[in-house]
Amino acid sequence: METRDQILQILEEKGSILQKDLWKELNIDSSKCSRILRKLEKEGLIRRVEVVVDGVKTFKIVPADAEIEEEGRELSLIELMETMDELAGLPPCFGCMAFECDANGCIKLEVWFLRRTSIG
Amino acid sequence: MVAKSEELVRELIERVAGDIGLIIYALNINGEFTDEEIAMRLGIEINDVRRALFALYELGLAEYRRQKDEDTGWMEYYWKINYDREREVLRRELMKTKRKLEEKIEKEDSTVYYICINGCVKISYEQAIEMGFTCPRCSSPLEYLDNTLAVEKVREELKKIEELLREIV
Repeated sequence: METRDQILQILEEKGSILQKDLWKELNIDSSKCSRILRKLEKEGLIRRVEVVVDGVKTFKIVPADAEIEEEGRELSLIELMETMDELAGLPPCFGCMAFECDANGCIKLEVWFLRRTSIG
Repeated sequence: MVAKSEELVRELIERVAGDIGLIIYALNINGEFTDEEIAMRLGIEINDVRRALFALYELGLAEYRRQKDEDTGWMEYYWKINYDREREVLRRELMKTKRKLEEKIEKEDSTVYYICINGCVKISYEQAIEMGFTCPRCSSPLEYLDNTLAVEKVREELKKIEELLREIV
């Protein structure tokens, strides 16, 4: 079975998997894994959602049609501002490893910005 | 200004590779090493070491080569920290941050925003009209959000970043 098919099968069975666990499970190196995932994402078969695990960023891999629980989706802006302490200093873009991003769709940058308004 | 750029590199590594990334980076090892050697030396879990090393790799501050161990048949990773890429990586991150802040400012400057009085959501004037100036989450009124001060602060931040970029060559 090809690696890409193995990945799709794993997603079917588990629903989602962290990228850092995936390449270990498939016994391939991380760069090969990320190459295949980027391709699958371009083909619209999967989505990669940035998550933080033990303080380190990685991607959660989900099937393209999965409902995504975005970080803080259930929380209000005020609640987010209270939880994201780290967003006091330099903008979150500094050191953000997201592959592609929309600055105006980023909740972290929004919270960072709002801290500088009167409600912050 | 050397001190400032060192501080920024530390901040960057901490954000991407965590405390363990910082510790490994501070070991100042110039040659190759294995994750196992570091785990032994620091007395931490090898998986934590690997995670931090791969984060440093993603950042561009580490590289590795894989070689099969003749005795065990396992793939061994030989790591190397790219101290000479420090400035290049720092510049790249600052440039990206600058670009993103400029995008943010442009949007904030060209959009009128409303915010829920309880701080649930922030939406554009057009969306606010559609919602009858009522919060879609808690049904409280939406009020005008004055972002001029924040935009001003972000502009200052941008100036600082530009200054740093001039200094880090």
